[in-house]
Amino acid sequence: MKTIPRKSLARDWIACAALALALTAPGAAWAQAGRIRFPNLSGLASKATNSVDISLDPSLIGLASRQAGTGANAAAVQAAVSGVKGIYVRSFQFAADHAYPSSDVEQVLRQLEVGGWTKLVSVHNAVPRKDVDVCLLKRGDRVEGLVIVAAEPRQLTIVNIVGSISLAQLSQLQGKFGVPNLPVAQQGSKP
Amino acid sequence: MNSRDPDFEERLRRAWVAPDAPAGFVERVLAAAERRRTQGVKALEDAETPAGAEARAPAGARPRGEVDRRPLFRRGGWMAAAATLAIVAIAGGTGLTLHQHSQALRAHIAREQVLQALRISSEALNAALAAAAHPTPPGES
Repeated sequence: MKTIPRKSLARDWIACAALALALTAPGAAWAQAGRIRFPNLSGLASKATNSVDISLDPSLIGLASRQAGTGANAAAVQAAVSGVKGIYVRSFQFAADHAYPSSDVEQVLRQLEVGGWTKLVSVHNAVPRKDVDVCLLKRGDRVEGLVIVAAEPRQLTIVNIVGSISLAQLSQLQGKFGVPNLPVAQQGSKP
Repeated sequence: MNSRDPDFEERLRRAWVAPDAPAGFVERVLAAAERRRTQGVKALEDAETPAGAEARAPAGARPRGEVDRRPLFRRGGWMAAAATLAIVAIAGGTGLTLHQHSQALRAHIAREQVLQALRISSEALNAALAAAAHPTPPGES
């Protein structure tokens, strides 16, 4: 019987290990708890009248916190991001209805069906088509991630906050950056 | 007047006759000439040798052709060394200032992005909560 030389076997194992590492390394970046994988939205920016693409990792958040300045707003910001490890925002506004494919939204929502995500808010309207989902990832009492998906006829917003953040603090931040509270939110607060 | 002056004629005759050289005159002249000749040759030889040039060089001067390998500050170039240190300090300070400015700019941009991200997140969250609290009836936008 022909035997395989040891050197050849060792080389094969090393090649397999390197291949496995190469295939799993990119996925490892996404394996961070609380972080989702965004679909390829590069084509939407060219169709949108206004687009926002923000990716902030822990180092940039720390840098921003140190330069937050003084004042009540600065304190509110620092309190909100004190436990945050990453903020990822993709937001697009369009001049026409339904200018983005629904598959992009579904690709994000599929990720929130597994991995321990809990849906806090889920509103789906067929006419007009409007989908709003707020999902939270909790490990015991600790919040590890927040995802907000707001798909409206002329606007698509996907927010992923990795780490611990208070929904109450986040909600209260709206009126603190020179942006008035939404009329809808104000109506919601009325008895 | 045609009076004969025998003394005059004797004096004239004597004036025309070259006097005899004193004893040893020739030998002295030849010796002096030889001395001068010997000294001239020696001077020429000294001019062609380093030892001779060194002997003529002023005190403290370096031999011709030798490279001064002493450190700059020992060669009396302490002013040049001080100027070099000053330039390095200024360049280093400038680089540090530029780095700090770059860091401050990055921090400012990061802060603005954080604020914008939180603003959008807050708006989206409040809109979602409002939609959940007051769902839109069918047919209305």
